[in-house]
Amino acid sequence: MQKQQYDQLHETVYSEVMPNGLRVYVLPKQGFSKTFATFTTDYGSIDNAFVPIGQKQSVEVPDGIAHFLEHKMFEDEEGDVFDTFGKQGASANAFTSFTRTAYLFSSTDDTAVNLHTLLDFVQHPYFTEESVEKEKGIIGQEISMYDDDADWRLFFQLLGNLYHRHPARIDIAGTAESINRITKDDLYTCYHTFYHPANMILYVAGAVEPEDIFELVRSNQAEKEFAPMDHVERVEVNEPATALHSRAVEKMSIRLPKVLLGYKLSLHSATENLLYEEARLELLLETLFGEGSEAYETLYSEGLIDDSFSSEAMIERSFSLAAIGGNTPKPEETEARLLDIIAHAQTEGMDERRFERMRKKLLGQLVKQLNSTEFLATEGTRYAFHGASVMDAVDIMQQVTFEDISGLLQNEFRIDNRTTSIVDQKGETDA
Amino acid sequence: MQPVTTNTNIPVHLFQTKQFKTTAVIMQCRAPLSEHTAAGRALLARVLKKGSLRYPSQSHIKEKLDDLYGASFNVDVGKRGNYHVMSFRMEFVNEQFLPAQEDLFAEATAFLAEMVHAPLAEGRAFNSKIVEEEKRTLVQKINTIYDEKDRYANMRLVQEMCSAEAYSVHPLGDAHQMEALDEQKLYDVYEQFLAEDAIDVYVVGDVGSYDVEAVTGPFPERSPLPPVEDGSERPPRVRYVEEADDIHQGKLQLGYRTPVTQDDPQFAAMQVTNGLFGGFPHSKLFQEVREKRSLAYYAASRYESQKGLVMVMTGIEKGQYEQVKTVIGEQLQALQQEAVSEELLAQTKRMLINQIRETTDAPGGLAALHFQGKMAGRVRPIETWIEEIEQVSAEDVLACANSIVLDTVFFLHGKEDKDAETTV
Repeated sequence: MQKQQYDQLHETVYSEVMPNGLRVYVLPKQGFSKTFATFTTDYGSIDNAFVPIGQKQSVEVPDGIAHFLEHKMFEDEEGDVFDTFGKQGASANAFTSFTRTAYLFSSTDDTAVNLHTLLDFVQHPYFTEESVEKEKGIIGQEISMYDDDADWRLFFQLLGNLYHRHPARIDIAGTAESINRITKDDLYTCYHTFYHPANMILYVAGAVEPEDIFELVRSNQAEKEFAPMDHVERVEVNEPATALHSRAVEKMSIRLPKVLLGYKLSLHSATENLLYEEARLELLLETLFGEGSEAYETLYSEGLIDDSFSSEAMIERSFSLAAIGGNTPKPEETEARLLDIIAHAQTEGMDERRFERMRKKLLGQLVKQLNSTEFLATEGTRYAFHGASVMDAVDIMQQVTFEDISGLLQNEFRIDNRTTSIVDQKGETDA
Repeated sequence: MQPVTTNTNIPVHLFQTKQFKTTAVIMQCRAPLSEHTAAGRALLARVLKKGSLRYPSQSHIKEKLDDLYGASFNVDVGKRGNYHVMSFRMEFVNEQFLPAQEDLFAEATAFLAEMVHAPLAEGRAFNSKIVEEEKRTLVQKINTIYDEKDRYANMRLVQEMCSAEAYSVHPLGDAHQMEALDEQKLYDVYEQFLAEDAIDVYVVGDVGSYDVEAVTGPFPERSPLPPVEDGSERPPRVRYVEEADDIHQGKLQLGYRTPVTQDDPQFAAMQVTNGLFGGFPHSKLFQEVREKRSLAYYAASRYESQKGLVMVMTGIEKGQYEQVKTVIGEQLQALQQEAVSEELLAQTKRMLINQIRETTDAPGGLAALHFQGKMAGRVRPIETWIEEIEQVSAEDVLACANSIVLDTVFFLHGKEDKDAETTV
């Protein structure tokens, strides 16, 4: 068991790597009632072409399969795992992102029993033809729900514009057509490749004693056998640096249009710390577009944006992007003004005092999030997959310099890697 | 955990705890919910948030908040039963976790008092530019409820079901009333708020001793709120309302009534009953509608305990409307006719208790639990509440389930031609 102390933050993180490769982190929180645990694989919707464990040839699997697998993990021979957690007083859930699938529970007592359940159900796949077919109806409704969600459509249209062939352009849940092709054998192939302990992290935050948790995990894992594994070989796509389309408009049944400006970045290929890249991108976007910035206040008082306006920095394993936008009565005009703001900052420079204020603001936000066991476990896992600790975030934020963000603005915000996504009102004539 | 309450003109409830890295200060201001005042109070919340004499623009405010290490400050309105609640919330980092040594508590609370008591106004009128901007934003917000189909369906259900009751009023009011407001009329709303709202202030964090009056600022003396009059009337038969829109998934919402509200001795039993019906993944709705029949991705129920409503929501294919409606009806019937098993009962209680305990792990959660009780006229210490849940019996659940009556069914669905292509 390793122990890492963070004096300024009054936190200690304990960790251990199990003989089978599973990485375990424990963050005890004094005074909390709740324990929050996540069991996460480094596997998400973009991992759709890879060499299966024990094989030589790569395969391509249907879109949306990581998410489908997440749904199916909750069923075993005895029935529904949600039910087991419920009987043990815990709430369970799961989510699938571009690069991760996480299973989690929170409980206020019987943590040990629930932790065994979490480890056991995720490490025990059970799929039948029948149960796979049954799930297609449920996920079909989930996809249908997202089809009506204008913000979701706006974002995925943006990704579709940016990427030529990188799988980030595909909806996380896949499509009605792609999920219909999924078989139980596909699920087992993905499962055995990506759910190997060496590809996973267990993170426990809350009312716990670290040594108890490690002892529990050691004995739980000692009873299971896994084939040896080096690393997962994913098929890399050759993705150009430029955007595929410069704009796209979708019409939906809404009353206020939405615009999103996106830049396809190269920050994910930095050999240094990805989290540092993420911090400087966040600081740049806050400085330029955050509430209180000249841009935000001007556009707001002109009625071009409202408080849905925001910016997003996204740096994942094999792609990175920046997105800026929100609701607007005039999408084209707002787009033009945002481009002006970026061009102006590139020629005239940014306000360094504002940059320093944004650093303070983001630091405060980080410390605030340390109140949350959910944040600690999910972000702690994300940082750990990147080889860092969530507690380093405070230090990382302090290292970013004004020159760093100015350089980022000059190099990464160009015309050829940019796109615009608009969701507009469907008029009577479009029906 | 119970707060220490200082009962001056404005009660201040302090939860002294080292559990959090932040301090939260929350001011809950409530008035009776009414169609005549909702728009005005919604606008007031936004205008007070956007400027004061000392911080006359959003840039000044943000600059101050950024200097307080990203302190958050928000003012908004919400509906809690028949009350319209305006909430001022500040949360800021406790300085012991920061490299800097400043008295953030004193600075943050002074800022909050300034925003409440020294607004950007001249004579008896607010700044007209801010008022116009915020009117425009709010009218947009009201119109765009339509863009989020679940929220829209729920708003329509409540409008249809409670049309003769205060509860049908949306917390943002309606667009026409919003348009009719101006900087003078809004000032009247402000003065009424200062003089009449029932106000509770919550402080949660590791604060030690502090100046209570500096936190609330100078409110005039006030009398208690009059009781809210509310004639809820049940229709002679169930109302069915349908609406068509250009969408893929149908949104089905069912509104039920129960006489059991938060101040009722059966409140805990009603919570358990709702938990069994549709509050959790092990509940009847999730198990029968989703897991057994694959009819939906989500199917859940929510108990509005201030008002005495149970609302069911699910997203389905249009052609399966009749089937889903029948299945939902059968689930309630089952709870009304057969005693629930000890196992399911125990499971549901544990989940509920878990939920309550989890709420206390966030600064806002501690304050929210206390304020809920305060509004209902019955503050229960958390341990008492948990005990009440533990004592609920299968007979209590039967009785509660039999108090639930279907009132209105609202279905928002796709247009005719679209349905054919989504049915695979």
